[in-house]
Amino acid sequence: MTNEPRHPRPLRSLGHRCARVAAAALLLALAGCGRPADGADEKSSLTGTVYIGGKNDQPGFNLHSGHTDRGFEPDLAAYLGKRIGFAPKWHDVVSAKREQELVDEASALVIATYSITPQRDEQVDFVGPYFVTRQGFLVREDYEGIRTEKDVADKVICTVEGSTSALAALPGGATPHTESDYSTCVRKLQQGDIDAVFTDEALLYGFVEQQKNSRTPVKVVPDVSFGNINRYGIALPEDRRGDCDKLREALRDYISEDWASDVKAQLPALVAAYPGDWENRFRPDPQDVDTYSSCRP
Amino acid sequence: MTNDVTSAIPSTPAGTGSPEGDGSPRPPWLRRAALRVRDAAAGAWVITLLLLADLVTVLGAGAIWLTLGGDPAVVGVTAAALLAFAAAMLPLIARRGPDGQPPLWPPFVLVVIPLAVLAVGLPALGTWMFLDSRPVDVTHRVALDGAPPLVNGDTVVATVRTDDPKPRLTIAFDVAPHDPAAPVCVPGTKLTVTSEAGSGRDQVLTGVPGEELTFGLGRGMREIELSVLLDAEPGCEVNLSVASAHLDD
Repeated sequence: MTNEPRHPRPLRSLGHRCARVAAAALLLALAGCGRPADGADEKSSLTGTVYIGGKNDQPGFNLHSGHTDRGFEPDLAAYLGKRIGFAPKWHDVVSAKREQELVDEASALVIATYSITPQRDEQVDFVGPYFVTRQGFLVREDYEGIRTEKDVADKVICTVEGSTSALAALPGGATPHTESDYSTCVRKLQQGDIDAVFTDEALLYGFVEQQKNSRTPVKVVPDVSFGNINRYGIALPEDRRGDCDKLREALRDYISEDWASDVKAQLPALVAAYPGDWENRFRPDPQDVDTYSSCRP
Repeated sequence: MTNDVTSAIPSTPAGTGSPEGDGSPRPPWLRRAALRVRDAAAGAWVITLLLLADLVTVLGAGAIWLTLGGDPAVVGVTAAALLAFAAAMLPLIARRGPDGQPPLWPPFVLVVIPLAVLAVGLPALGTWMFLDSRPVDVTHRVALDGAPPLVNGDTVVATVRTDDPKPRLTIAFDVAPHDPAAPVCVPGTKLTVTSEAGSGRDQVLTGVPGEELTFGLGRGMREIELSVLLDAEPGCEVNLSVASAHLDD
């Protein structure tokens, strides 16, 4: 027989109960802090100076010269920065390193003619599309060797390593040649080392505009294309739902408001190639942003 | 009714083994149940044996039914109802009149047979009707004849064979990128599905991947055939699969 106090158990239970209630309240409070309501992030990367990975050798889309970045993508970034409240700062990234740029958090965003693909979507999140384009061939202006799709078969075709164009199925017999960037492809085209550059039509028209006054102007072969339609997206690291939602809403408005005027200003050769039809071909529907973005509403 | 049967049993403590002393221990609940059956059947062995034979016959029939492809739920409910009925019969068999004779045989038997039919038949019928009214999942029974990848304009024939025909099929197809490294194109795809057999022949429905499409089939359709036409962007290569398929009324 032990000399236990008359009511030891109720007292101990009361103490345990209080501790349990306090622990539960603490857990609930922590859970509330860890899971922000309505998709708001606990930390947003889109404040102050925001580093954006871009490809600054692409005339029309992003070209770095004289300490400034000019093109459609800097215009887009400026709109987003003004709308969301950040200052874009560009630094160069090659096609093959775009995912790594975000995984390593070297950049908060990548805006670099970056096509949305299911495989890339597993590593990074996308907001887009902000541009829709088919893939075509750039040749020297006086070159008539490619008139139909069949003519591509015995040609040397330059594409860029890590791009979706490098994966497109060219006709059997075509000799693929890969470089690290399109500027090098275009230079080799002008030198006569290759027959054509194969990539997105929208990109090619940037080079047409850039080279129009050069000694070897270039042109896009009309009505010859291979591969899929490419949709350019703004990439950001995964699990930034709040930032993703902000970008998605801002991009939808951008397509309705400033998209057309920016294309006219930065890609005049593209506008001239399809008079009256260029918006139908290259402008995404604002509703598509909700369909193709990683953060669907 | 006398209690001489139970009093005749040696008073061994519960759980200490069988009274026969054969060395094989039996659980006390089993011993108690055996005693209860023996007690109830005392003086009524004919009806008990008939009930037992009936029980064995029906349970055996249930086992054969199950082996031949009967629905386990219906067979189970029928067997459970029969066992419950047999257990409920025991106190009635055990009842005696004031003179110790079983007083209820003729009227009792008249009541027992319809009761047995109702007690076993109604739960089985209810279970069968419930199962029959539910949609039949045939998702994994849909065969697609096309080899991936599929491109714009390709047609695939989807065939469903079933032993449980129903007048309506609700089906949803899924479309996945063939090459995940290629640009995204699946959201732009559409499917045009045409019913190729039955009273709903040439019924055409168009939808996006994942959308449920419902076809009227008519009665007794054991083989259903649908043709699926893919509408995709140029260069888009996809794999087609069945997300869900149900037959119902």
